[in-house]
Order: sequence, then C-alpha cells, then structure tokens
Amino acid sequence: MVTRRQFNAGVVGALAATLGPRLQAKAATREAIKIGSIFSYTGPAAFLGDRMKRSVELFVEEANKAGGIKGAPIQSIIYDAASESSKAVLAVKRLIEQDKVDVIVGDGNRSDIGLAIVPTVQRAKVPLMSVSGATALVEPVAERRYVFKSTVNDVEVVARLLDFFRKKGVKDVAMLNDTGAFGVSARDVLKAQAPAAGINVAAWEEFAGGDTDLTAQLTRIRGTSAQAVICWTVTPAGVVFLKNARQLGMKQMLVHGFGYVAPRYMELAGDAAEGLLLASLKFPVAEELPESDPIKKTILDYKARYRAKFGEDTDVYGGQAWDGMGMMAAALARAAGTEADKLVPSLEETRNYRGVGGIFNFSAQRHSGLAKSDVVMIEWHQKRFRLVDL
Amino acid sequence: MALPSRVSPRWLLLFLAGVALVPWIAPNAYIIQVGAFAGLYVMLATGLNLLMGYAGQVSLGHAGFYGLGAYISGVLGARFGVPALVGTAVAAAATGLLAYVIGIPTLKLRSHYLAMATLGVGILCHIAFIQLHWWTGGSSGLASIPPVRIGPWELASDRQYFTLIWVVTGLALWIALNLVNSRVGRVLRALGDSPVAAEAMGVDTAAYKLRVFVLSAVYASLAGSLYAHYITVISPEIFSFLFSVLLVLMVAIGGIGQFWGGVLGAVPLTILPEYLRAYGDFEVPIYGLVLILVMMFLPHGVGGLIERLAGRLAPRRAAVQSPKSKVQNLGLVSASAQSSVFSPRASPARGAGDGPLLEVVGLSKRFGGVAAVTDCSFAVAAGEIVGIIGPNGAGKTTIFNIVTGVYGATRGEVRFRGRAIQGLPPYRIAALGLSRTFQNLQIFRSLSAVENVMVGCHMAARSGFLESALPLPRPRREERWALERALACLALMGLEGVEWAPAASLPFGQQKILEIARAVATGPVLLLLDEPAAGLNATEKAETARVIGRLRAGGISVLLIEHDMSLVMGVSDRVVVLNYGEKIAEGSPAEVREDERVVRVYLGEEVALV
Repeated sequence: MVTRRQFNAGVVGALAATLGPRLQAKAATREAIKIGSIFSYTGPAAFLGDRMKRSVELFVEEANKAGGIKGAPIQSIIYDAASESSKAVLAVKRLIEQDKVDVIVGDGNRSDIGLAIVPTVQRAKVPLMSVSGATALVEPVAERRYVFKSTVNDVEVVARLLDFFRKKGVKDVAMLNDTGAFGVSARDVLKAQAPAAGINVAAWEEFAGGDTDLTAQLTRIRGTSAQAVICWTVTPAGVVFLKNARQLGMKQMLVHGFGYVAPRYMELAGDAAEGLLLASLKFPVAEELPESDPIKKTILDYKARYRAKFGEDTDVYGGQAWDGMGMMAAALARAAGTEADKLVPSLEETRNYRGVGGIFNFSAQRHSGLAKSDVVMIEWHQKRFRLVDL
Repeated sequence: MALPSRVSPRWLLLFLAGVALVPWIAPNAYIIQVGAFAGLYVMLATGLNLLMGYAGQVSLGHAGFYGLGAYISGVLGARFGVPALVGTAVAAAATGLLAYVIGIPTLKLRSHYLAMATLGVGILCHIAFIQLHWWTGGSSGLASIPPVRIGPWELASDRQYFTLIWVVTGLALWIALNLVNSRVGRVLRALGDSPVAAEAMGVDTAAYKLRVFVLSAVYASLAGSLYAHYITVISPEIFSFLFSVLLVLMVAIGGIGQFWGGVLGAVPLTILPEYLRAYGDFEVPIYGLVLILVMMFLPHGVGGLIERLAGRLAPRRAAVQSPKSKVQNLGLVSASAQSSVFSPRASPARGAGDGPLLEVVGLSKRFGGVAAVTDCSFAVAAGEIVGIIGPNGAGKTTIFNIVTGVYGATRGEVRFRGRAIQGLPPYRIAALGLSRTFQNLQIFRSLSAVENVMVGCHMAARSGFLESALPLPRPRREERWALERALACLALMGLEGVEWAPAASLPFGQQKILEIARAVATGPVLLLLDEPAAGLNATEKAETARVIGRLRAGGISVLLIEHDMSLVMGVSDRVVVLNYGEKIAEGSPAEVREDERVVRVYLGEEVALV
C-alpha cells in the first residue's frame, strides 16, 4: 500500500492520520482480478446508477462464492461519478493508475459522462464496458477499440419500431423528441431509416426536457395525417406528452421509446398512460415471454436474486450493469491473461451471450451487442407492462 | 518597506517550487491529474477571490465563464481546426469582453446587482451550451477537441498538462499578487471597506471593480480552455450553476479577501473528495461534515486560521517594533517631504483676487417631500476657514454631500475654482482639489493607518491596472513616493507612532485625525471637515484645533461643520448658520454670536454663558 500511504502523506496528511487505518483494512488479494466501476449513484443520474451499482455488488459476491474467475477472486472497486463528467474523469484515472484495475464496467451511466472517459481508457488501453445509450460510445470501432456496451442502440430500437408500424399498417407518423442527446439522436436515426421503411414522418416536433406544456406541438401534430405519435425522451416531459394528448382527445397511437420503460413515469401519468405503446427490451415483460424464449429464465433469475439480496425490485438499467459484468467475466475466463490485447479479442468473441437485455454478439466490427430482435413492443395496461408484439 | 497588508512573493515562490515537485514525487498519473485539476480550480478561485474579497462583489456565474472558455476554444478546435492556444486566447478575449459588457451597468450600482446579473448569465451560458448543439454537441457534449500544441510538440501526458496548467496558474497567482500589493489592491480593499470614502479620495470605484471582474472572468475562461484541451471532451453539466456555487464555497473555505484564500480553498476541495473515494458510501457524508465543520469553526476560512496561528507565534509583530525608528531608519520622512505635503495649488499667496474658491448659489435639495436644503448661498475664499453651524437636521451634511458629488442638487449651482461641478462624480470633484472627511467615520478598517493615507495619494499616481499587475519600475517608484508622502502627512498631523497599526485599532480621536490626514494626502485646495471634534475629549479637541491651524498654515481652505462652539468660533474666519435647510445668518464669529435669530434657534443659553 505504498501508493496510498504516499497519497496520504503528500496530499492530506492531517486527515490521513485520523482516517488512515480504515484504508489498510481493505487489503487486496494478490491474484485477484480487479474490476473497476464508475456509476453515478448521487446526483440527477442516480435513479439509474443506484441499481447498477448494487447489481455489480451482487454479481461480485455471487461470482466469488462460486470460486471467482478461473479460481481468481474478483476485487471490485466502485466509484461515484456524482453525475459529473469531471468527477468521472478523475475516477477513471484513479481506477487505472492507482488501483490498477484490469477492466472497467460502468461509465458513469450517462452518455456524456461515458464519452468524457473514453479518451482516457483508449489511451491507457483498459477495456471498458459502457452502460450508456449513445452510439458514439462504441463507434467508429477503429477509435473505440477498448470500449464495448451492454445496452441497445437507438438504431435497433427505431428499426424495430418501424417494423411494427409496417405490420400494423401505419404509414404516417409524427416525431416528438426532446432536445437532449437522447432525443436528438433518435430523431436523426428516424430521418435516416424512415424513407427506406416506407414510413412517412408527417411532423417533426421538439421540446425541452423541462417543458410543462406540449399542447402547441400536439395541436400541430393533430392537424397532420399522422396515425401514430412517437415521443422520445427520458425526462418528465414525457408524462406531460401523455396528459396533453389525452386532453386534446387525440386518437392516434401514442408511442414512447426505450428510455421511458419506468413504472414510476407511468404512475405519474395515471389514466393517460393506459394503452401507451413502448419499444423496449424484453426485461419488463419477462414473465409473459414464452417458455421457449432463450432469456426468459435469465431475466427471472436475475430479478429473483436481486430481490432476495436487497429486498426490492431491480429494473432494466440494473440489468445492463449485470450483463456488463457477466460478459466481462466470461471474456476474462476465455482470455489467456488480463492484458488488454488478449481481452479485447476475447470480448469480440462474445457469441450468443444470454444476458437479461437480450442475446449479445460482439465482433471486431461491432462493439454493441444487441440486435433489432432483442427489442419488443409492450403496452402499459391496467397498471403494468404487457407484451404486445414479440 | 513591507506594508502591513503586503503579501510576500517569497511564499508564492516557495509554493510554486513545491508544486513543481509534485510530478516527480507523485506515485502515479492519477495524483498528477488531481494536481492538474487543483491548478485549474486554484486559478478559478483566485480570480473569484479578487472579485469577492477585494472588490466586494460576488459572481454566481463563474461556471459560465469557465464554460465559455472551454466551449469557445473547444468548438474552434474541434469544428474549425483552430490551434488550441489560439482558441484559448480568442476565448479569453471574448469572455473578457462579455464580462466588460455585463459589468458596465451592474457595477455602477452598489449592492449585489452583479451577483444577480452573473447568475442569469451563467444559466444562459449553460442553456446555450445545450441548445447550440450543431456546434456544441448538445447535452451529450463535445468530443475530439484537439490537444495543446506548442511549436512542434503536442502535449499528451498528464505530467505535461500538469506543467502547462501550473505555469499558467502560477502566472495568474503572480499577477494577482502584484495587483494585491499595488495601489490597485489597496484601493480595492478600501472600496470594499467604504466605497464613499474611496470615491472621495479620487478613486473611480466602478472602473476598478469592472477591471477586477473582467480579470476574474478571463482567469475562469483560461481555466476552461485548458480543461477542454486537456480532457478533450466537455459537456454542459460541468458548467452548471452548482459549479458556480462550489467556486464561491472554495473561496469562502479558503478565506475571502486573503490572497491565499483561493489556493487554500481550491486545493483541499479538489483533493478531499478524491481522498474520500476510498471510503465508498461514506464519501458524501464525510465530505459534507468537513465542510460544515470548517464553515462553523473557521468563519474566515482556512486562511483566517493560518493568519491567527501565525499571529500567535509572532505576536503583534508590527506593533512591537518601534515604528518611529523604523520610519527614521528607512530615512523616509525628510524635511522636504514634510514641507511638500501641501499642494502647490493650495497657496495662501493665491489671493482672493481670483474670486471665491467655492461658490454655492441658490442650492436646494429635496428628498421626496422633505426639503433638506432650500435656496442656500455662501462662498469660501482662498485661504479662508468657514464654519457651518446649525441644529441637527439643518442640512449641513447634505450640503457637503452635494458639493462633493455624492448627491445631485435639486436646484442651484456649485462652482469650485470658477468651474461648475454639479453632476461630476465624486472622484472627479476630488481630482479638482476638493477633499473631505465624514461625520460617521469612514476609515478603511482593513488597512493600516499609513495605507489609509496612501489611498489618499492615489490620484497622484499614474500607473494603471495592468501596469500594476506587473513588476514595472513606475508602479514601484510611485509606491515609494506614496509611502513617503503618507508618512509625512501622518507626521504633520501628529500621528507618529501609529503608522503601521491597523486603522481600526486606533483610538477614536486618532481615527478622526487619520481621516483628515488621508484627505490632506489628496493634495486639496479646499477641505470639507464634517464634525471633526464630535465625540472627542477636551485634549483631543485641542489637538483637532491645532491640526486645523496647520491646515491653514499650509494654505488649505477649510469648510467646517461643527457643533463644538468654542472650536468652531475659535478657528473660523466666517460662520454660516443653517436652520431647516435655510441660511439664517452669515458673518464673523462675533457677529453671528450676537445675531438674535441664531441665538434663538441654536445657540441659546450656551453662548450667553461663554
């Protein structure tokens, strides 16, 4: 623990004198595999990061009980990014330089925070499993050799949604996205995919995440030929969308993206959420999946174990961290060593990994593992999500 | 000739030498990166401390300026291929200009308009970073910002960025140190203590506050640009309002208005959260607890604690030395200096033939429905001492405030040396050779006695804000001259022996005389004394009378408000009597004493006894 002692002495000597002994207690096993994690479990992004962190803790506990990775215990080091990218930048540096972790799972659970730490892991050549949405985290692969992600891209979700529209005979839709990264990215994806899918986007509308009234946008949409309205956001304004649309008596199909699969938001919208369609991973409707579904058991198993440990329900976001740990552990087990040049090919060999988010397949060309087939259409009906289209 | 409030550059050198060792003893790049971040925050906090501690203004939008630095040079680099150092300079210039534009209207006003304006600007900047997404990348942030390139070298390692950041931060500290130690620093402290007195000493307070504000915005912008090119990815949430609050907190923890406050706040607040990471879930509570304890037990911040401890080790260092011998040893107060205290403008030889020095014609002042002064006229001739007497509320001080430019007149005219001076700001009127003291003491409490008087010498010096920030010969020469003159003024007023004591620690009588000495240092032709003897004992009053005599001997004309009849009747050539804002009598002391109306409304029985 030389480095830690130097840190104490050199930087905050006085504090170290009183608090130092605690540090020594956390002794590391020599051959342990060190997995670092950065989540935001304080600050605005905490509603995602909290369950992610616990999922990692659960995973490590269970994996170590089962003998670790090829006999080596996992040592988990988790830091809080506090929803701030400058904090995450320091945290990732600390994981790499001071804790000397082998890999990192968790990138602060927000796209902008993830993007801020990517240059550091790329330079240090430490594999990172991102749990955030932005496609730019893993593309272009040539510049993101060490970064993988355990979530779905909006490219796949939008494609799945367009398939669903075609199947239902919906030809004209309206897009209503927030002006944040999540919404703007989906708008661009839709713009690129809609013509080839034969879907006409009759209206492009936007709103800010903090907006409390969307009647102006919805009134304009009502005047078009749109048969369905897609709302793309993770902000509370998505509730306003539902309430306003019902108040205006809109009969169109209302659709939310995969960022709104949160029972809390549905409860906030109350009756207005009834019948809402969402493009989602299978996670929220696992119980309804046919027995033949390859990941049904995986999801139910994870949910049950989480509940047993923490006494509360997990969610799809906790599942992303769970999958990230699972795939990373599998790659570590396959690889001949923990060096990045052995681990990256090993991660890229991930084939048909049954995660709680879907079936993951990585390759040298693709560091984002899920496909269109992992996305399903669900509906909020009688105060719970139910499967509409598999 | 170390002035009491002077910050020694030796400590800065020592500190920077210590910082320079960090990259070589740090066990890994993480520690170096923490050090680099500390450098950025030191720059931010030091700039903010200049504004908060010295100019007495709060900025709640420093995160916005920090963000402007980051985004302007980041966007220029990432989208238009502008080199990092060029982008940094452009960002600093643009941010400085913005601060200038915000500062002009808000800093003219007293109170906390700047805090409100910057709060709004900071939030606007944050919104702009998100909304201008075709440039800034919106809320997902701006990536692929080019690294810094100096000549053929592209900086890559943490050690290189640490060095670059601390070189810039060191320069910023050094400039701040020069400023704090210069007449600018002194004036900034003075205007923090008493803006009205600073103006009366000829200081354009708004201009100084504006310059400090611009400087601190430029510091923030530089820190932002360095952050952007170091980390190469920025996103809007870094520059949110909460970060502005954190910066204010850093300054408060470090010590507002102490040169080292920025360093003592920023360094611990950068390192502490990193150190506490090892405590996992306890990080946030421990961090909060430390902050609460510091704020509770160290109201003047860490800097205040260090000052107190240092004071205990070397008790009353300044006071123990015999200041008189110090002055003599330095050979500062020469006979010629004493004799040249008075302005050549103020010569009794310049006779009455030139017309009256000060003419007040038909002056009226109303505050809403209250007529404080009504149609009042009088004059002061060169070399004359004129007393103004009257019951409380007669409008005496109001006349002083109009003459010195603090208030505008409702009607009437004020001419000084033949020139109409209404509408001029106080500092311009002071420059014409008209100085004053205050009824309720307005000494600069955070400065020593001699530094109080040196503020009075402000107008005679020519070196500007930027000049003072650098160790150039002229500011140094002028400082030596100002010190010499200030010591001479103090000696002339009989304040030998207390030159180096904190002004606030002087007995009341000496504080009153200190105000006169400070006013004399401005080189006035006419001096307005507002109740110089109020609250003084008999000995002190006698001393005050002697001082006024010395002023007359030096050729300074005096307009005197005083309730002490023996004093005012003893020294005045003529006396003007006011009642309810109107002049009811004017004449020699003997004439006034016998005026029936005066006796009735004001002098009463008292005079009969005299």
